[in-house]
Amino acid sequence: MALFLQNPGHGSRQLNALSLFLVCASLIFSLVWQGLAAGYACPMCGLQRVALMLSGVGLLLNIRLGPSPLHYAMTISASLGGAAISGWLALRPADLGARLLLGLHLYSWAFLVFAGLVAFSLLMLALDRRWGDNALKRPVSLPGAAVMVLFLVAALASAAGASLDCGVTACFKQLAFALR
Amino acid sequence: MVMVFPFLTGALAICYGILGKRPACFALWLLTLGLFAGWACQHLDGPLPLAL
Repeated sequence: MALFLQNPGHGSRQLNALSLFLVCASLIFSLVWQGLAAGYACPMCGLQRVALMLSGVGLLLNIRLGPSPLHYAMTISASLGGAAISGWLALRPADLGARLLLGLHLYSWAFLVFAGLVAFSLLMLALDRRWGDNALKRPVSLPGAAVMVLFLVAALASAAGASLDCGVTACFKQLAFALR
Repeated sequence: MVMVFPFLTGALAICYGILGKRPACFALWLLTLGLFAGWACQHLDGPLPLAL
């Protein structure tokens, strides 16, 4: 397929930037939604955010270094992990007090996002194979750079949200206990 | 289990990704994936309500 033959990698990186922007929006929205709905994030909700962040790292590398099968594999494996967590939550007895978003629980939306990321990565792996694997840094356009910085901010905000959930000192006490 | 640690290692992986250092980014990504798996194993301990 010669979808990106005229300018190899360019269209692909734009699509990856768009996907990363959607990942950022999902991360920030879930943080705000759970803060408003419950005032805290359950451990499984935090896990879903970690999976979303891990999926985004593959997309970020596609933007920064050019598309590579390794980067798509990173996105697919993290998305499958996140989909497993969301599916597990969906199979549990429904929490009747939980707030719905357009008729669905947040973990159902998360499952759809992870499934979309897997489908996107598989499609790009099939269409984008002319680019090959390359770890050379490439110049990034301004929108691409803005999306990468937004992703870092969203990840740091998620870390801050998690530390607010368990308390910073409590988190590190738990780490010391776990390492003992 | 620590909730913040995977976010911090993930954020560090993103920093290295932005800098274009793929080996460091990938190593931190793997570490975060390991923490994710450990965290999941700790919490996915209840039986699934599936009648097979």
